[in-house]
Amino acid sequence: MYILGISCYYHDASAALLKDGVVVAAAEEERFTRKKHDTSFPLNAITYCLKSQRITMGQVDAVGFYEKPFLKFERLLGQHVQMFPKSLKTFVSAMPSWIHEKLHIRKSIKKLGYEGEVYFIEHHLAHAAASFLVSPFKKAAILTADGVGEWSTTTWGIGNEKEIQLLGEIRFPHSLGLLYSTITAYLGFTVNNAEYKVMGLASYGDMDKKTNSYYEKLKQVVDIKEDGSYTLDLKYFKYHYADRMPSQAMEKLLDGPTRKKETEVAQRHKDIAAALQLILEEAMTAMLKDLSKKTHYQNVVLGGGVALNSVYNGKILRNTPFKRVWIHPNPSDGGSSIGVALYIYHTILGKKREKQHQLSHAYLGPAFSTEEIQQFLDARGIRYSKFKNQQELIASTAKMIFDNKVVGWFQGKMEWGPRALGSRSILANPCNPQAKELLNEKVKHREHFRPFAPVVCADDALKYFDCDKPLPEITDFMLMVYPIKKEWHKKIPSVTHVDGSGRLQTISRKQNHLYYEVIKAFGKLSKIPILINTSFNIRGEPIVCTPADAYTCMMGTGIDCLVMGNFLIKRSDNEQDQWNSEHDAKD
Amino acid sequence: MVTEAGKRVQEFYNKTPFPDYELERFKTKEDLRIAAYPFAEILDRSIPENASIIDVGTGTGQLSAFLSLRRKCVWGIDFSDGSLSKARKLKEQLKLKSWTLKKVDLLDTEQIEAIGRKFDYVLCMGVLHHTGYTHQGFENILRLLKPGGYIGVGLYNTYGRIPLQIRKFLAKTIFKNNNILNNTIKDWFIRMQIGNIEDKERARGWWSDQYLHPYETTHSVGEVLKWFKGNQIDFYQTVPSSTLFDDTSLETAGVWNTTSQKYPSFLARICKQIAWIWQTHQEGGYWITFGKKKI
Repeated sequence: MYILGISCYYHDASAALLKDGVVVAAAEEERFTRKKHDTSFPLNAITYCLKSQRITMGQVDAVGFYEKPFLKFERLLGQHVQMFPKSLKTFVSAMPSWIHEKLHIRKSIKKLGYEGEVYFIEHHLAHAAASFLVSPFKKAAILTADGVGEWSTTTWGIGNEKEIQLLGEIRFPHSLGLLYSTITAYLGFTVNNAEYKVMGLASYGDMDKKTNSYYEKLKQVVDIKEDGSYTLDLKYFKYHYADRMPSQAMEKLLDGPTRKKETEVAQRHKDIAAALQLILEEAMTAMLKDLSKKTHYQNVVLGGGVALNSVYNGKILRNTPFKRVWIHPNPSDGGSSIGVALYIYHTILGKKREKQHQLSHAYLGPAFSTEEIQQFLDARGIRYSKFKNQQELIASTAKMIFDNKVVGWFQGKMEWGPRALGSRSILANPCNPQAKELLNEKVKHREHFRPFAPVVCADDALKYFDCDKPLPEITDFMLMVYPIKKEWHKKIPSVTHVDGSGRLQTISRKQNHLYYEVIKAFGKLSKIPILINTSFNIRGEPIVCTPADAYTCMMGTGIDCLVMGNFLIKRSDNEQDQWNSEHDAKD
Repeated sequence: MVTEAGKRVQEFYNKTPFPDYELERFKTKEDLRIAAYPFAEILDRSIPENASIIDVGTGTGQLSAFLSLRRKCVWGIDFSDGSLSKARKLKEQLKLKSWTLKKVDLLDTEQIEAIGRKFDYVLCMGVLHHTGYTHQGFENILRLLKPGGYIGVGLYNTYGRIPLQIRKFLAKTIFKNNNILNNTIKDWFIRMQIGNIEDKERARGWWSDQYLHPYETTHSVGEVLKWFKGNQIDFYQTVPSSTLFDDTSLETAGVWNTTSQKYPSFLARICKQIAWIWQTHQEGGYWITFGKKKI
């Protein structure tokens, strides 16, 4: 039985395919269209899902959409009527896409060649399902938080076997996600895209509630009750009736106008980011504590874009009574395509949850065979060499990284979700103090304050990081930031963030054998089995998908060589294709 | 039944097998998979893995070999020893156990009956228009189809083939005696149809098939719909589409998809076929009709 899940028209469009309840393929549309956060109907992603299973829509039994468009439209209309005439401008600009696309999902699905049942489920239910139904837990408390779905912005509930019950919600316009996005806009970063930069920036600010004056100021904006529910003071916001997010009152409160993109990031901005992070953590902790009290469950799963706040995720088990936590590798809207498909399979069709339904890895995207890669290389006249066997591949890759080369790593199936997890990664030596600067400037063309993430074999993690014990499964998805043990700070400077933390990814041999062995081989050379792992792209570009994307990206940046399948391609051997991607880097 | 046209065609294919390829190109099964045309890939996905398939007039067998990669029972039949011998070499080279090759003349009912079994899917791509007895051939191949089984028939379209016939006329008469110009034109015409022509045997094969073929006929949509009706075959769709304003995505819908098209009216057929003159000129007006045999 095949079930197709679709998510689109708001944040990241994506498609996912289940075969008898197991997620067999999933990908975001942006990887194929090469438009970052592409929201359009995910025809390419759907085609990929079908191709990967060698089927057509004729064999698909059910299709699901990740939210209820009419309910959302109702909210939108209500909101605009309420705020009339201030909302007129946004109303006029938003309407065409609703009339032409967003209300015609059924028609778009029919064009795929499908006439069967289409299920629409609530936005936050899809978030909850995406996390709970593939988690290792039979029972768990559920918390989802993001910008806004139909009406809900935050929901909590319980998952029990195949049933999901949402018990409470906070409704638009009160939204933690939108608060975070508003401050993101205030700090001069792109909304729905660069929230993670604000999280990274927060570490440079004053994380002490007593001394950071912006903490008290932002507290005037959000009123967090004891049970974690919260309300926003709407005079500081504009998003409910205009495109711009922070209002003049907010600018006044935060002592200055919205930062313009090209201007410098001042200490004030860093402190605001820190205060925002403090407030988010306070609200989340209060909600989780209350949820634990209400449900008495030991496990919790998180969903929605807020669950990408890895700095907070790393603190959940320390700050709340929960014993285990699980988060989907793609918890924001992109991941909801899996959520709706799972909800149909388990909850609507009533199929039992089994062990094989758990999501133990995120390698769900397209893969390319040795023959396909070679055909591409030959057709383009690219100079390359072939590794004799896997041992040689592992040993030479480790050696190149040890020699401070920046290596593009393109192997197997592409990752699902916003993080590169060892299929489409750029690898470098974390012991090299210049690595961070080199990668930020020459390779990724991004802001100097942005940290890089370490990848470590799961069996070595506790030696270097102050992690929760036992190690949560989701460190595999790079969803947790943990303190790096003090004695290692100076030895791996390039992955140690300014506050001594690192957003680690752990990897087991079972999950990704080649990647695991490369890290181990590097460990033998350097005595530290940790690598820098960053996504294979430049700033503002989707992660590479095909051999052609990878090659083009390498040739435009300071990546020295590309290990793609069994082949080694050196930048210096292919001077004819070199270009400078610096001007292409965007937010 | 051996016709005059049949003999000429058989001789022609013995000399110039089709679709020709250099055996070296397919060292592994993966090579064969990558080389599959986008449409062959869609066709492959449209047929379930456990179905049995027969490709009538398989020639050198590139399509049926590809379809056999993930199936247990795929047959390829042809009446040309020249083409079949190349197919057999490919079978041996790639060890394609589930691919059965047999010499059968599709116009000979006895030979068809001698196969002794029926299939879930019968494909006959670009074959019947070279037989001289297209309708008879069509009825013959239906003998191989199980009740409720699916059929795909590829033919040259009466309208769509007009541009190629003009090109053919130019190549064979106007540029015939001018060697330099002839080669350039030949090169250009073939590139138009199959893109790059690095595989010389493939290019030669295509040139012979499209420009030097001793016998071909062309057929309209209405004609094939009549055959379908007369033989209890439900019409599913044509590729390219013969319905007006059809925006179904072929890549996801596949063929034999009932949602994608409705039975084309007379007027729709005329309009679409006129459009095909331009739309299918690169493929030489090639089109395929898909249907299902009533139970």
